[in-house]
Amino acid sequence: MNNKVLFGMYLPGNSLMHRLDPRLKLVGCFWFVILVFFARTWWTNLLLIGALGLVIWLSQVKFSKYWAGIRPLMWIILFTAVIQALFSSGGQVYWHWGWLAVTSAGVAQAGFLVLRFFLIITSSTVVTVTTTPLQLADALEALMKPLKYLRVPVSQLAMMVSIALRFVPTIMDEVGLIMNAQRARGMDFSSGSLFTRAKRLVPVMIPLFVAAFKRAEELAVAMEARGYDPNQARTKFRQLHWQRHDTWGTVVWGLLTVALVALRFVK
Amino acid sequence: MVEAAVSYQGVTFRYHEAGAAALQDFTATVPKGRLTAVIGHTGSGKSTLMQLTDGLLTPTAGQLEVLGQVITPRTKNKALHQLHRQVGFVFQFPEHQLFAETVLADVMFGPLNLGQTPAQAKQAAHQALVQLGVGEALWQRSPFELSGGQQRRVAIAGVLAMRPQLLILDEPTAGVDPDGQRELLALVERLKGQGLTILLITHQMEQVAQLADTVLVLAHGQLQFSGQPRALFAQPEFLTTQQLALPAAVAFAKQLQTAGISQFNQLPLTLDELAHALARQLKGDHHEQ
Amino acid sequence: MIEVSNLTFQYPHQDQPVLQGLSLTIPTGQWLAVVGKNGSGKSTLARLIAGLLPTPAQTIRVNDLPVDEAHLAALHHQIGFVFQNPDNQFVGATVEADVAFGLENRQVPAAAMEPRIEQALAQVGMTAYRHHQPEQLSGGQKQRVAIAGALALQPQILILDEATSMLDPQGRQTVLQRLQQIHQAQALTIISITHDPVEVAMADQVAVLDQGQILRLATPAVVLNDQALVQQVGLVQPFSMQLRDRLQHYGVPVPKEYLTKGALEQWLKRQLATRA
Repeated sequence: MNNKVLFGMYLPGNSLMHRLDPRLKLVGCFWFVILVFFARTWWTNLLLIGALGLVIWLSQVKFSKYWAGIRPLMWIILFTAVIQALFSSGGQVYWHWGWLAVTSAGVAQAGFLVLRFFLIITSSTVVTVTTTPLQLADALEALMKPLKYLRVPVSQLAMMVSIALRFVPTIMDEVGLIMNAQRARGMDFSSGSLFTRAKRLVPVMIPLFVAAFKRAEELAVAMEARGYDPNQARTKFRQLHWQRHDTWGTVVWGLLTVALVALRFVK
Repeated sequence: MVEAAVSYQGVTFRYHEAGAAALQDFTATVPKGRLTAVIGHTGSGKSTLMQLTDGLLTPTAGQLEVLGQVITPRTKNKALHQLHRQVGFVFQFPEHQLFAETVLADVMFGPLNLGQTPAQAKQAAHQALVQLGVGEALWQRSPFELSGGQQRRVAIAGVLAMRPQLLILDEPTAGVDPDGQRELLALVERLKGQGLTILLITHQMEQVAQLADTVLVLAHGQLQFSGQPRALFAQPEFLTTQQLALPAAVAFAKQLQTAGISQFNQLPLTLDELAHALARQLKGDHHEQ
Repeated sequence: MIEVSNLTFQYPHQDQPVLQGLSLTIPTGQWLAVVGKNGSGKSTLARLIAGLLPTPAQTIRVNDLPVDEAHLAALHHQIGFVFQNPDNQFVGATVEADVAFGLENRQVPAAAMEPRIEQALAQVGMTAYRHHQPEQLSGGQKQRVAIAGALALQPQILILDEATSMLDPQGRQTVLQRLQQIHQAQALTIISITHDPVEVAMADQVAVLDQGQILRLATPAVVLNDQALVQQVGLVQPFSMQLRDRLQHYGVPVPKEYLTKGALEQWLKRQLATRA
């Protein structure tokens, strides 16, 4: 069967963006979001669009894939933009009805809002498209390491996350299978009131929970048998290696920041 | 010519519009009142085929006729629902779908979904549980307290209680100990004797040799063979290319033949046929059959 | 060497012990098959040996190491365990990550892991699948990965708890072939809990468990040839034995002793040659 949906939006590839250190991608994305809020002029935003375009180009993933990620959120963005346009004031008034007015400042603000949404969503999509969930978990673990000194159980959390990620496809399969089996037993999931529909989830949820508990128990024993001890230090097979292109990536992002600050303050 | 219970007419199915076809231009018939074995490796399309047969999926192209009902790419959900009522589908490891508080309630689930009254459903459940040899002492117990083998039988009873006209069994003996396997195979044989149309997915060639009237072999979403088990097992090269094993009896007979120890006019399919043929030869009767 | 002496074990929620005064010695390098009906205690015995259940004090010694809380880590070092369900023991996101899991627990340095992973995967014939995800593998392949995960830790004992029971015939056959090769190549003690006559026939010794005790400890030939015993413990006889019995049923006087397929073939050859 070939309908396994890969968790997240990861698209396999070997582009520069794929090879970049996940820690850098994570921090870089976070930094980019800060820059998005920092940029308030058309020029600074143009610079950010340019940077994003560069990153998208480097990822060698078609823009249509990114667009597919944004599309479902488009209505929310547009709705927010319309509200923004209607409720802000200042500048020339194009149209008004009672206290609702469309002004030049409102339109400009709405425009920035759409742009910000677009920049933030697309930049984080670049990360999820080019990084496997597991790499992300590794990166998070590495970045959270300092929290160990605050007695946060970082490696246990990371283990939990990676096991959860490992079993997402298995559990998705299981849900499909159980639903099919109950449909085959004459269950109709698609009609009836909300209450009856909710009630119909019982024959799906119970087997799912039973299986999950059984799995958890068996997995725990299997992990113990293989010497896992949550309180013991572990070595790591998947090592994150900082490479030259990661340094270059950092430099580019540094330059972007400098340029942005310059554009904003040096008129 | 036996009446067809199911006929597939150029059925194609894709999970994704652009993806590879899980089933490609599939044409075959399943005779009524017979047992048809379906064999193929993981990814051969056999589970897709079974889901189509039960109306859990509709074809992307082509059509199929199941128990007189035609299913096309445009068939509505309601019509499919009608089909679930007539086709019983025992999934692999069916005990994983048990959910109710008691064994009896779980077996009644299907009949109640069919719109039967609780009294009718109870009666249907009783019959099915007796048929599966699940003792009355267990009926009010939680299905989760039972042993694996008992759970399997309760789950199968849950499907049989719906009195299907066509029964799909996906690896009914997988993961069961030898005693349990024997009992389940005896049940399949009994159901077959009652004239039920059965589709049996299996990896066990012994089961094919012993139980099947016809065999469908699938690979890469396409039909590779349709015919009687004897005809299938008489084609060793074909089986090798399909990476299918021979039943033990056939393999042993072949081995005796190639070693020049014995010759068979007709290849024995089962252990009993093999023993019978060998006994005749050993007693000096060379003109077997 | 594994020494079990007078072992009695009862689960807290049950009113009867599963194991009652069981004693057993398994020499190093032996392949022991453990058979018995469900509930006979065979799985419990395996788990107790591996220290996966609270083992009663001074009842089990593994290579002179008492199985108890204090020696658990050392014990896990020596024993590899493969469970029944292929899915519920696959921890890693990929094949290589799963094999690495045990090595990471044992704090093997990353650089030293690579050759051990490579070797373990080669031993089970899964090298080509290194980067595959579990959803892309069949049950048999997952079990081979599980065996590789155990082998990478270089255990002295490998316990298989119905490891082939959920597999299709071909998956089972490949797993067993690999096990046989591994057993021949190194002095690995194997304990396999099974219902499969082919797997039983591969063992050096068979322990037949019934109601928490060892009913019989003998070679596969002796156990499998005892039809009453085979039926009592819910096994089936291998094909050659079934054929022999069926031939006898048709009035052919086949010798009563245990016959492998090859031996039966030779016997038939002699008989048919004299007929011709």
